[in-house]
Amino acid sequence: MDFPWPSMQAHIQRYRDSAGADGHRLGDALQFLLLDSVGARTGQTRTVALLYRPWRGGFVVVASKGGRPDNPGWFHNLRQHPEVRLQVGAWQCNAVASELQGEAYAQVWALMAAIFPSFDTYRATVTRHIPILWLRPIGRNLPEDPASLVPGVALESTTVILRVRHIVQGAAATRDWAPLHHDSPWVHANTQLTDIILNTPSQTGWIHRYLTDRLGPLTRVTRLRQRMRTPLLAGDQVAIHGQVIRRHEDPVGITWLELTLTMACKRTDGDTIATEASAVVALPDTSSPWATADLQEPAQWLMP
Amino acid sequence: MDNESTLPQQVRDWLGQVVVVQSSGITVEKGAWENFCVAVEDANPLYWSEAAAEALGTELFAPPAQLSAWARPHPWSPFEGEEEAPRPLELHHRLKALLDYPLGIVREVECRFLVPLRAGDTLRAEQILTQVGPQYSNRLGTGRDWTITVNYRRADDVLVGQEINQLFGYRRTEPH
Repeated sequence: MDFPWPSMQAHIQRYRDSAGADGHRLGDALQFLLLDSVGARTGQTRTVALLYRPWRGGFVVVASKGGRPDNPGWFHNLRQHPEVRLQVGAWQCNAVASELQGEAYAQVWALMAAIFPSFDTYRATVTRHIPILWLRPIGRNLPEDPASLVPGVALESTTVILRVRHIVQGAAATRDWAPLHHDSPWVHANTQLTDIILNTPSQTGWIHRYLTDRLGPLTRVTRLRQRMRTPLLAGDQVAIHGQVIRRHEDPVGITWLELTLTMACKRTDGDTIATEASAVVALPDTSSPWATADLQEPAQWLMP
Repeated sequence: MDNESTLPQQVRDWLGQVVVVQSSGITVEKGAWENFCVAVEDANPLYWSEAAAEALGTELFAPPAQLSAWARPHPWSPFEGEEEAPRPLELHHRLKALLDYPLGIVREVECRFLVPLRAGDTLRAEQILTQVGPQYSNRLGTGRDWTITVNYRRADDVLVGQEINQLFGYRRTEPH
């Protein structure tokens, strides 16, 4: 297949100069990203343009080196330094690379060969194993590997000190002007509470944020049920915990999880569960849960 | 006497009906949803960066947890002068008044996020009284449980989300 760029360097330059407008896409099926890796021997940053496909919330690339007998230099770099910098279209992000094996490798090879059949030709002509790398963007943290999220697995917890700013800004952003959420003198005069409390949409927001931090930004929360046991007050140290209780592989290429969650706070009389919650979420696999506007969760999971 | 017959006629007429429709005239927009993201310190790039959203195969959208806010008006308008702040779940307050329960709490809320909201969308909220339970007493006082379902619809009538609120309205029991 002929590419419109005379060389890899020209491709990279035009990609950078145009913020991906020239170089990100080729036709309907092919997409390229720029990968900056740290040289395994030199320690210098090296950039390559690679064909990719979205997969499980990240991007997969094939270390084919155009069917040459040896692995590409960037593959050795990633083995030494898996932390990389990506440009995908106009977006730049940090990511972590890992090599796919087994079933995941076979699945992704088929997907990549479907968009670029030359990969099968390369494989037929080389004796080496052609590696596939999964590049996972890092946000606040590296999200969990979706394959590891089976019933019983606990997500890493998050802790936050709930400030007056969080409560008041959350109330303002949701236009909830009940005095409980911003007026401390009113709260002291009219209730037995010791301070202003977090409103319900903000609690939903904190739980939602926890889920997308832990499971990845493409995680789509379709249902979230919260049972409030005691209010969350300004000054509370709040820990959010989550655990997977059900998993369902959807034939459309996404994975469904059901999780239980708690928001717990430390009080003078010990740890208190302030809110119990359950959530149903869709995770990207070979497809994105955002590919359709109205996503239908598995019928057997819908509540009566 | 069954539960329903102990309810005022007005409340019985409301059961299963859309009683309150709230629309704010507020348009979904990025500056407003960024305030919410800041409040909950949400760095999800799908709310912040068009470039990230495109790279990840979607479009920029509003944080789903902010759904109810888009149907809630500002507490002041330059056209009508200062007014009392609109109440977030108006039907809940009307029920409390009708049943003579001055206090109320949210016990449980279930949100269903059906369709993502994009910049430019406008919403209305249809508040439906789904169920009212019998009066009983607990440590808070004497009152009733009720359920209010809120359907959030875009201007083109598409149902974009639902909120099922389990509430308890009550009056304090006087100490003996």
